[in-house]
Parts: sequence; structure tokens; C-alpha cells
Amino acid sequence: MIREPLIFDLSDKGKRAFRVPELDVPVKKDVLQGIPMRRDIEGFPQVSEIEIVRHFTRLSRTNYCIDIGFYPLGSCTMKYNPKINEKIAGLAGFAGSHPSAPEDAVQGNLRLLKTLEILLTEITGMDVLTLQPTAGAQGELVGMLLIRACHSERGNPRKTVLIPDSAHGTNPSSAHICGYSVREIKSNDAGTVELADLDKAMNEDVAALMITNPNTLGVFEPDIQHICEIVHSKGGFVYMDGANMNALVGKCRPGDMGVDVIHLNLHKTFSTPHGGGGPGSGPVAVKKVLEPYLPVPVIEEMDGTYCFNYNRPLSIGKVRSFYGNFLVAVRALAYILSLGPSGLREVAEMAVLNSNYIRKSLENAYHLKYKTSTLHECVFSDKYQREYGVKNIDIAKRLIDYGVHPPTMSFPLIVQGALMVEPTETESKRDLDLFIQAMESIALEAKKNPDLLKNAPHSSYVRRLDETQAARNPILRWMPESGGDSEKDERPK
Amino acid sequence: EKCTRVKGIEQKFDGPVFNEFVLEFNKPYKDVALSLKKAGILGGLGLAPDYPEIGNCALFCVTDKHSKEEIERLADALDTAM
Repeated sequence: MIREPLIFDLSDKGKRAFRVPELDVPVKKDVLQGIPMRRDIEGFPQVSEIEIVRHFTRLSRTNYCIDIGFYPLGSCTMKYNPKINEKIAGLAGFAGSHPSAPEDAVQGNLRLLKTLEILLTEITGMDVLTLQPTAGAQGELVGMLLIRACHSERGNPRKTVLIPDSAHGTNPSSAHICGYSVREIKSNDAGTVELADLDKAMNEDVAALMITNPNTLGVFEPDIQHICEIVHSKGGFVYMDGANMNALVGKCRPGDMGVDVIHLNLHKTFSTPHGGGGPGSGPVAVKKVLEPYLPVPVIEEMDGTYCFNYNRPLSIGKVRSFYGNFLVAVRALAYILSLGPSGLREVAEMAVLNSNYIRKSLENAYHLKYKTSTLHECVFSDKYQREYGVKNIDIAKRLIDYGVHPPTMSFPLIVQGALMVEPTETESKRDLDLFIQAMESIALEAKKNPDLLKNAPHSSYVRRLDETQAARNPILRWMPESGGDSEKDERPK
Repeated sequence: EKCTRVKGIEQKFDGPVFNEFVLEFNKPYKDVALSLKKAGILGGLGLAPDYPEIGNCALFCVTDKHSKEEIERLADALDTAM
């Protein structure tokens, strides 16, 4: 494929894509008197509309995405993004509304948000929910802030948060940003929380345990209720990272396990697009005890009329501009309503079945550190392939030549050379089999021709990038030849 | 200019404006907003919640997408509201 130039390289003087309509109000030349007016931006690309369309379309085609093929990125839940959700989010009343509009002008929107709150609360088995956080990690921070607010109101915010060694790195980060120190809890040979270690670590200085269930190995914590009891017995809260909710949705509820706070990822479990970095949504559901501390505003309903309530003296405050990512909420609600309870249950069942099919098919070709049953994802390692000098990154890069996006690499940290595979429920057996065949071929190639993997990918848009150089010497900005903006600015005299 | 020709409405600040401007009303803005709504116009952003010290003011925004006709319609609706 021919390398797409930068848009600056497509520029020719005098071309333009759009003309602002002629003014139909009288011209008043001195209206911006005294304001320094920029006359030119050196190097600003001058291109026609068709050139813009083609340039960005070609760029988009150099990217792999879920609409092109299998995307087994573990922990991300790269499921199909239903197009009906896009149509609904595009309805004028949703897409065209402004977050600053007064409440009486957006009753439909408020009702939609409240409905989603209620459904997600039911799905998680919790009592109330906020839709404000716009990412999973922000949801974690909000959850921890709620816990801190409650402990503080009781007279002692406490000092420490306990986190299993298999946790996602955002968990300790969120705890730390919230002002807590972190103590790691060991995993046992089954890959689950070592109860004795938790029991020893839990005391009245511990604000909370942050746990992922199923955990980052895809293993369900069989002692989750006992874990919650240990934490509760010393007055702590249990925070659950809901990133892996795709394995549980419709089948069991974190609230019933004893969890006090959970965040969800609408861009994972509830099918809204990942978008290459957003917009996402990380709602936080809590038990009643934490309700007073929820971020403002809270949506309330009385006699069929919805409003925002900012009068919440114990609230942790505002955590986001406006009300969260509204159109993401629209998509998630459309998804939930179109599947219904039985559809959501089927999501979890198929997600677990697909993952176990891959696991069983590849368990001889790739090492599995933990033999425990897994749910919607499983973690292989490169242990067998290291014998030939091949690492997980080489396997990942070679998968690209087979037209498949690599799995998550090197996470969780407790598995050296990890390859975390999460197929999700939206893949057919045909695509799973193609992935399995590709992985089996790569395992053979690792033995017979390791250099083929170490120099992969061979057939992609770009070859293997020098990531060290990219980190050390990034080129972040195109600059015109003269090195700066035009000097033709008019400055006030 | 069209809006401030309406009796009871003044431009709040003197400096040059780009795409939006603050208007001050000699009656509660919520009543003005209700009247605009009846005329099918979602009026400017009332500033009372965020700036109580200029409680009877609202921020109006006009872009290149608004025609002269629409601007004049707003001015007429404000006249009715006042």
C-alpha cells in the first residue's frame, strides 16, 4: 500500500474546501478594532473537499478496527458495535441537544439517563448509580472518592487500600490519587486471592479492597462472598472493577456478592464504540450507604418531571463537565433494550463459551500458567516459544500478518510473557477457528523459523516500529520550512 | 445591536465580542426565556446559576449558521417578551 502523505504535503495554494456563506447582515469594518488579527497561518493546508475526504478515508483504511476483523484484545471486550445504536444516537433530539439546555427543554434526555441508571443498577444488583464518569479509570477514582468521603464523614478516612497482585494498573493509581497507600495481596496457585494474605492484611486502617471479578486471568473468585465478609468485618468497603462484567451480565450480580461499589465500562460490556480513545463511559453503582456522596447533579423524578439536583451537601462534587457522555449512554441503553434480559444472559454465556473454545484448542500449543477454569478470557504465555528465542511480542506481530489483531500483551504482570485473549460473544465459530489456526501456525513457525516472527509483521502498512526511538525522540508536530507561524500578525500599536 | 434596541435590554459589557455576548434584562430572565420558548426559540444561557452577581443576564451566541432573518426573529421575540 502506498504510504499516505501528510495533509500538508497535499496542499496547493489557492485550493479551498468550503466557503462561508455571504454575509446577509450589514458589514461593520471596525467591529474588532484593536484586536490583533492573524492574517495567515503559514503552511495551513489548502486542499479541496474531495482531497480531504480521500485523505482521511485512506488514513482510516490503514487502521485495524472491529468492523474489519477479529479483535481479541483481552480485558477490552472488543465486541461488535451495533449500527442500530448509531442510528438512535443520531436522532436529532439526542444528537442536536445541548448540555446547557434548560431541564424543561430536554425531558426526554433526562428520562433516558434515568432509565439507563435504573437498568444498570438492576443488572449490577446495586442501589443507585451515577453516569457521570466518562472512562473506567475515572469511574475507579470516583468510586474511591465515594469510599473516602464516607469514611471521612465517619471520622477517619483510613490509610490503605488492598489490591490483588493481578489487578489492572489503574486500580493502584486511582487509590493513590485518592490519597491512599496501596498494599498488594498475593494470588494463590489457582490465580485467585490468597485468603490468608487478605485476612492478615485487613484491619481498621484499610479503607477498601479493590477487586476484579472475574479477575484479569479470567478466573472467577470463588470466595468472593467470604472476601467481602473479611473486608466488611473491619469496616472496609469492597470496590469491584467491573471491566470484566461481560462474563457476568445477566447471570449473577456483584451487589449480591457483597460488593459496595462497582464501576462499569459502557464501551466494553455494553457495546459502545471504543473510538480509538473515547468517548467512553464509566458509570459507578453503589449501595445505599454511599448514596449521599454521589457526584452532582443527581437526576431526580417527581410526577413524571425530571430535574437535576445539585443540592447535595455530602456530595464529592462535580467530577465531569455536564452529565457524562450522553450519546454513549444513548447507545448503551439502545443495546440493553434491544437485547433484553435473555439477550444479555446469552452475551455472558457465549462470551464464556467462545473463550473456553479457544483455550481448549490452544492449550497444547501455548503455555497456560494457571490451570483453573476461566470465564470470558484466558491468559496464555510465551513460555514454550521462548525456547526458540521468540517472545510474546513476536507472536503478536506475526498475528498481524494473518489479518488478526493481537491479544493484550504482558498483562497481567503475574504471567510473564502474557497473551490475554478475549474473543467476546460476537464472533462466529468460523472466525474463532481462523484465529486458532493462525496461532497454531505461529507456534510451528516459532520452532522452525523464529526469525520470521522476530522480523514480523511483513505484510502490514508499516513494519515493526522502533518503539524505543518513538518514546525517546517523538516527532510531535509538523512545522513549515521557515519553522514558525506567519509574522504578518497585526499587533495593536 | 438588534437585541439592544429592544427597551429593557442592554449589552452588559463594553469590550468587543466574537461569537457571543451578554445581555442584561430589566426583568427576570426566566420569564424572558419562557416567552422565547413559546415563540419556538431556545434562548441564551441564563447566567444566574453560575454568576449570581449578574443574575438577570444571559449569554447569547450567534454563528455563521444564523441568517439575518433568524436574528431579526430573535429580536422580535425579545421585544414581545419584554
